[in-house]
Amino acid sequence: MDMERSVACYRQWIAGQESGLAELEAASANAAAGRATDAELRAVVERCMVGYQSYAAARRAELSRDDDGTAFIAPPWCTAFERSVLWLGGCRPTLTIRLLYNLSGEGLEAQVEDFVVNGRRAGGDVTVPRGRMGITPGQLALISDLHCRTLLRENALSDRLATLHEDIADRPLFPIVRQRATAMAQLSATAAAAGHGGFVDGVVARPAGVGGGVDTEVEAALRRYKEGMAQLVAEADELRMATARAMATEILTPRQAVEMLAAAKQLHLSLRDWSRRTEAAGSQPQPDGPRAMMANTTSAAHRNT
Amino acid sequence: MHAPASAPASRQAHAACATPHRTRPAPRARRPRRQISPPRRGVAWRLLSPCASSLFPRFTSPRRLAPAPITNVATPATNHRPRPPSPHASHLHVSTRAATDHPPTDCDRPNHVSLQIDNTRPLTLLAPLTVPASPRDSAHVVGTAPGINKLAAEADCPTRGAPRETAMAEICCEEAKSTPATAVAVAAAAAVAVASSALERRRRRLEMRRFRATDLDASAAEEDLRAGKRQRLARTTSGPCLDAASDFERPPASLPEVRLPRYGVTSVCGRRREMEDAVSIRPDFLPGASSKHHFFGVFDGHGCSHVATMCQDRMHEVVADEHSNAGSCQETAWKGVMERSFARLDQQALGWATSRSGDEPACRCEQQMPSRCDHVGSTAVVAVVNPTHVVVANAGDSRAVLSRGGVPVPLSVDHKPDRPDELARIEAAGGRVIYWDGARVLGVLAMSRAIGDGYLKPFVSSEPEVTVTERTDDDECLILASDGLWDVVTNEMACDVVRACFRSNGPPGPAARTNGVAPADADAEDGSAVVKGVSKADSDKACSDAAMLLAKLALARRSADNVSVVVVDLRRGI
Repeated sequence: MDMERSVACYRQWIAGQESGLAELEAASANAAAGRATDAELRAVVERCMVGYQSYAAARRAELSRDDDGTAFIAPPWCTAFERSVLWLGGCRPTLTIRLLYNLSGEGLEAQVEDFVVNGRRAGGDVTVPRGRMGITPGQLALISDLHCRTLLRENALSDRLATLHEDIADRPLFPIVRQRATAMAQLSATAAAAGHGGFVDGVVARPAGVGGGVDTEVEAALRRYKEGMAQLVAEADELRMATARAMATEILTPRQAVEMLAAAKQLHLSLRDWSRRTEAAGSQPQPDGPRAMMANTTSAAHRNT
Repeated sequence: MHAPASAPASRQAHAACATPHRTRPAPRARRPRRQISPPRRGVAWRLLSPCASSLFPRFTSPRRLAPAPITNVATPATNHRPRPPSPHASHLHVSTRAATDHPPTDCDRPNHVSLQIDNTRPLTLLAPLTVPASPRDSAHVVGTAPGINKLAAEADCPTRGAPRETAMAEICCEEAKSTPATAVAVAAAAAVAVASSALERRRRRLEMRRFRATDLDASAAEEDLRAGKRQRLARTTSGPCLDAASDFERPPASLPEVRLPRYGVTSVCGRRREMEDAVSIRPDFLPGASSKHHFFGVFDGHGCSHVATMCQDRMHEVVADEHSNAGSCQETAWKGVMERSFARLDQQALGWATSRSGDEPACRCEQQMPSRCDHVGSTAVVAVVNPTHVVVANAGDSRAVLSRGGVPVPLSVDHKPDRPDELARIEAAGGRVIYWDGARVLGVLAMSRAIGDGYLKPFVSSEPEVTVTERTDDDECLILASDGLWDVVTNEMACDVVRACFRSNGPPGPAARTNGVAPADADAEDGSAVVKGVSKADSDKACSDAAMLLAKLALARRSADNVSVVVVDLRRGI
């Protein structure tokens, strides 16, 4: 796997996320001010979806180049925290739905309070509150349906991932491990009998393998595993896209979709930013206090993007 | 500390090993699963978990599951959009087709198909009506009529050695009332009665399905469009012989008036990763009774969804059966009716694994070895509403609340293991209540009554508590909901919200549509709907608003569970 290219691909994606967020926030402000038409908002949403799509496609191209999905499962270019929340190389598809549940509830409490109290006073001349985002009953039903469908597919992928994990302790890898270990034991026994040590610093000297590499049999076994992983990442990407697209283009109105996508990007970029800061703070203690640390890590973050 | 992830292998073993921990109950909104379930990371059941197909959307085609002849309303492409205006008349394009699995015979061919408009005016046909030669053929008709409000179609068909069958379908086109000049984007259903052995058991009933062809509400139409232009299907089932001619000529007034209740329902998966709630609404579920009785049920499953789904499918039938067996119309009879119904459902739940037919999909709990089928249960809160009374039967921690004169009146009391009388009952039976992430029967189940849960019998009982409440003029609404709502919304708040929705929607509309349509047929429903018995289109706007708002409020308040809410308008007139 060409790490450089993958890192470049990721950086481009993050840059796209940042510019996309700015565009979405501008569109959202315009919509709030009544300056944006649905068509314009729809175009913004579509550009955002295309952004996701092209990142997924670029990743898939990387994956197919050498079928190594493992780098995307735990990308070294992400922070440890980011890696810990990844599911098959990205967000869980159901994250979109949880996000929506939370967005749909924003501002609802205050509106309901107002609705119940003022509605009584005003003699019923108050419309039924729908939260700041205005999710309708029909939309809520569709979101719940999408949720259930996505859960099933997500669980199916999770199960396949579990199977793949368990396959590590099975053919073709495990027999090779056993076979090598036996060979090694025999070798060291022979060496011991011959009177010179088969161990160097407690590590078994490898009979085959030059320069730390492994032979073709092992490589082939690892490749099979990686291919399986690449396939899963590709399918996970598809599910993420399908869920986001169904939500943004079929269920939500363009204005709602803009808000949802902006919130998703905010969430992603904030998590990334914060985890980078804490990681940087953890690795380099800052005697100068939080301000210097903040300045340092922010500039570091900028350099990295 | 014992890992709470594994369910006990046996009652004794578990009771022995579980030390009672008195832990502070978790914050209500974040309350974890109420049952310590078996490990869920198993591969087998998740790969193909058809039980979870019950999670699937309500909009899937019923054709897949319903063996009944389906009259496909071949609507014009503009299902939800008005067609271009026509200067003088509305054109109708009707196409029907029967979907059957058996080869067509002569007996299947209808010998009479009639169409009526507004039950009085015959349709002016622009082309002769073609009667299908076989159920696989289509009947086409093109007609014209001004200001169509309603179109009814009937097909009359001889059957082998059985009384003739009449199938009927009817469609309401309400938009025509307001804009008669606008051509109606409507397709109506005709029906082809089909003799099929699979239908024998249904022949006792004459049932028709009513549906709306179009929805005037622009926003609803818009939503529908976004929902992927769901096909609306008309379904008919056949009934006993009716004289087609006299039926045809029968004045509309003689059609039985069915007063449907005003209700609204919302059921969402929410923050749980399984959908185990099920809702059943069966208007006029006791056709033989002297007055209208409507059935509402909320079932919140645990362990798996199959017990909840079973209650959803069968509870109303069992209650109807027990009611007819009771032979008494006294309100006092209801307690026994409900107790016997719950006991029967409980028996069916216990025997579920052995009794069910092989063609039903296997559940996720079934695919575990050893089978966990007896580790599955469901709460049940059932309300029967008739003109004078509200009967509520409850087992578990779902709840029914009546709003009367602005005051919430709980019609059920949650069965929690730490409720003093329940605690005493459990301990008298030799069980224990262990505080382990809240009070739990044997440290496992966070409710003291439920349908199913064979492994916790007799400590977890299926016997319902029944209340019979006389309706008054002050009654406003009845709310049935799963604990996903009640965990985060108080009775007072729920009633306030519903009343506010009622106020905002103005005075109630007509109690029901008055056409001769019996309640929806459960068997013809999609087998995996979250809400069964009725279609969304039949619900009342104020009640739907209220149910939706309550569900959204529960989600906004971080309810961690599935949320199901049914709101029934009890203001006089239902």
